[in-house]
Amino acid sequence: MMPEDKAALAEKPPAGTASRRQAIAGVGTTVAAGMVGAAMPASAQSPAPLRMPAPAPLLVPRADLVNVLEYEAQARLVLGPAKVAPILGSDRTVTDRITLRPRMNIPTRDLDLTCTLFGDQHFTPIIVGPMADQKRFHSEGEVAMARGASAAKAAMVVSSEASMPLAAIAQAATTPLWLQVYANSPKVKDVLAAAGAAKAVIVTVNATAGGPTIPASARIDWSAVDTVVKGTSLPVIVKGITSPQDAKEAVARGVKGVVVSNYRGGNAAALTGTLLLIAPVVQTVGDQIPVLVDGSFRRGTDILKALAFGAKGVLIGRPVMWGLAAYGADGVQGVVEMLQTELARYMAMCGRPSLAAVNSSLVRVHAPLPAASNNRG
Amino acid sequence: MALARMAGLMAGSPIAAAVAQIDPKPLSEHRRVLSLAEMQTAFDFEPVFFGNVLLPVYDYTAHGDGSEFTLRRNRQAFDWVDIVPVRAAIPPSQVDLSSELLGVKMKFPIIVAPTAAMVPLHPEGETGMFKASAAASNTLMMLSVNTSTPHAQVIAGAPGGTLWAQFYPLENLTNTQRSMDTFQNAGCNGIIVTIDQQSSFYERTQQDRNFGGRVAPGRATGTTAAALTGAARYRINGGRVWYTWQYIDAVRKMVKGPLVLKGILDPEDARLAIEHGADAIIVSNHGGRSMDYGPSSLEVLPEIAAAVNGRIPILFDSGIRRGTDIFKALALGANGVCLGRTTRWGLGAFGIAGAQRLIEMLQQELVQVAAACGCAKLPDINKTTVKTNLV
Repeated sequence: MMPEDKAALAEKPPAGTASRRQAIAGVGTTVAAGMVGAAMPASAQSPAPLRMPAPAPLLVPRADLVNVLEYEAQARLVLGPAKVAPILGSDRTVTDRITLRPRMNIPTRDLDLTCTLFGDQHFTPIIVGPMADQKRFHSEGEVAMARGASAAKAAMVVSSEASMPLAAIAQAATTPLWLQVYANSPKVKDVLAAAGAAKAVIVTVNATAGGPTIPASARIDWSAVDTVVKGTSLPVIVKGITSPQDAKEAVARGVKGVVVSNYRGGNAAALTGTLLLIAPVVQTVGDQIPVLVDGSFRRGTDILKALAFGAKGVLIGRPVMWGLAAYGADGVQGVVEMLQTELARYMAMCGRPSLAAVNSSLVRVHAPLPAASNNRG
Repeated sequence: MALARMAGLMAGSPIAAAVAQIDPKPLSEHRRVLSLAEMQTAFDFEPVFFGNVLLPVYDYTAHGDGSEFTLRRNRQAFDWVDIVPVRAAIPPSQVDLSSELLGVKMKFPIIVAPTAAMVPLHPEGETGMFKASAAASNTLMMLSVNTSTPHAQVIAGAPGGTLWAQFYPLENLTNTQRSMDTFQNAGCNGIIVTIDQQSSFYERTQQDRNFGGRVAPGRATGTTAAALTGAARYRINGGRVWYTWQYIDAVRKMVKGPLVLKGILDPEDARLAIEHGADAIIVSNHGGRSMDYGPSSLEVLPEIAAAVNGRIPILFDSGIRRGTDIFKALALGANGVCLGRTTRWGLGAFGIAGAQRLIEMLQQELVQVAAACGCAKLPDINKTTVKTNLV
C-alpha cells in the first residue's frame, strides 16, 4: 500500500469491524501481518502469489474513544512502530502526586472557560502546541491540524519547521495562530518576515531544531531572544523557562509571555513533570505577563492542576498529534474537545465556575506513593 | 461395607494422593464456585458476584470516574494508617460497639450504603438487601432513589427494620416535595441527599462494554456549539451542576426526620452542611465514582472531623473491605461507616444469605480488631489507636 493510500484511510474511518478492545490494545491482526509497520507492501515480504490484499488498519470509530490516551494506540496502528515513536509516551509521575479538592453546592451551570491571551479571546486556555514537520504523521499535516484546532475553537502554534507554508495553514485556520521559532535558528528572519497572519511569536530557547540537545545547565542565549523581540511588533513568548530567574530575565528583555517547559528536542527520557515548576515562576512574573505551560498534559485534571498553580494556558503536543495521525482534522478536534470537556467537568465538580475562581486552594501536592502493599483490592 | 471403609481410608491416604498424580486432571477442568460457607473475607464475594451477574451490571458496580485514580486511592489510603494497640487485648465477648445514631439504635456502627438497582444483582433485589440487613443485627439501610423496588414494598420486607431514603437533588421543588412525601409516607424517616457526582463519567465502563448509543461527554452531539451557553458549550450535561445550599435549606423544611448530606470531602463543606441544617454528613467520594483525582475519603476524614468537632455525627464510606478498614475510619473520626460495593457483592453472590453473611463478617472483623486493641466500647476507638502516615 502506498503512503498516500494510508493517509486516505486515516481520513475516513474504515468500515472494518475489529473487536473494539483488540483494536484499542493495538493487537489487530493487520498489525501482525506487517502491513502497518512497513512502508513496503505486505505482498513484497511474502512469496504467496494469491494473497489477499492486506486490509486497512481497523481503527476504533472515533466517537467510541473515551479518553485522550486511547488516541495513542490508534496513532500507533496507523503509523506503525517506527513512525509513531517520536510521539509516544506520557509522564504521569507528578500528575499522580497531586489531588484536586472537590467542593459541593456551588452552581456551575454558567461555566465559563474563556480567557484573553495576547489580545485575543480564547474559548478555553487549551492551545495546540508547536510540533515540527507534521506531514510525518498525516498527509495533510499542519493544514489538517489547523482545521481540527479551529473546529474545536482552539488557537494553534505553528512550528518554524512546519512541512506546509504558513499561508496555507492560515487559510485553514479560523482561530489565532502563533508562530514558533528556535532561538539562534537561521530561519528567524524569514519567520518574522512572514509572520503577518500570526498573533504572537514563540521563541524556543531550550532546544535546537533537529540538532543535538542543549544541556540543561546551558544558559539561555538571551541575545537570540533580543533579536526576536527587536525583529517583530508581535508579542514574543519565550518557551523553555524552568526557573523564576529565567522568567524575570525574560520580562526584563521585553518578552510578553513565557512557557514553562522542559522540552529537550524530543528526548523523551529527559521529560519530568512541569506542573511543580509553574508556581515559582508565576509568583515571580505572574502579575506582569501570562505564564503558559506544556509537557505531558493528557487529562482535563492535569490541565486544571496547571491552572491552579497559576498557568494561564496549556499547550498540548503529542495527544493532538495522535488525533491527527489516526483521524486527521477530526481527530485533532476530538482530542481538543475531549480535554476541554474534561477541564470543564472537573472545574464544575471543584465548584469553580470560571478561570478566575481557579487557584492554588484547589490542589494538594503529595509525596510519591509508597511501594504497593499486598493488600488486595 | 468393607469396601466403603477402605475407600474412606484411601481418600485421606498418601497412596490416594500418589494415584491422583499419575493421572492428573488438567487444571482448566477444575472449575468450582466457592460456597457461602467458604467465604473468608469480603474480597471472596467479588468473583462469585462477577460470575453471577451480567457484565454491564458488574461494570456498573466495579468502576469509577475517569482514570479511576481515586477509586484506587480509596484502597491505598487504608494502608497509610497503622493500628496501634494501646491497651491490652480483651476477649471479643467483652466488646460492645453499640451506639445510637440520630435516634436509631445500632448494634454495630455499620450501615448499608445506598446503591442503585439491586434486582439486576439478585431477584430479591432491594427487599432482599433490607431483609439481610435487618437480619444482621438490625443494620440500618439507606435505599437509593434509583431503587428497582418501590420504597413501600422494600420496607414491608423486614418489619422492625430501619430504612432511610437517599435521593439526588431535583431542581423543581414541587417534584422534590413529591419525592419527600413518597419516601416519608413509605416509612423512611431519615433522608440522605447526595450532593456529589455532578459531572462524572465512567470511561472504564464505556471502554469495556461500549454501551450503544450513549453519548459520552466530549463527543460531538450534532448541536453547533455557537448556539449553546454556559456549561453546555463545553458539552457538559447540566443536570447536576445547579446544586445550591439554598436548595438544601428548602429540603430541610420538607424533611421531618434526620437530614443527611452525602458527598462531603472538604472541611468547609462540612461546616456549611451544619450551617444549613444537616443532622449528619457522609464523608464520601461515592466509592471513587464521583470525581477522579479527588482525595480518598479516608485522607480527608481527620480534617473534616476536626471541623465538625463533634457537633453532628460523621458517617464514612468509600473503599471499606475489612473490619480493620472500619476500625481506622472510626479512629479517624467517623461515627459509623456505610458499605456499598461489598453489600452488592454479597447480594449478587449469594442473595439474602450472602448479604447478611457479608455484613456479619465485617461486624465480626471489627469486633475482632477492637478486642485485639482492647477497645471495649465505641469511644475507645479513637485517634490514639492509630498512627497515620498519609502521603
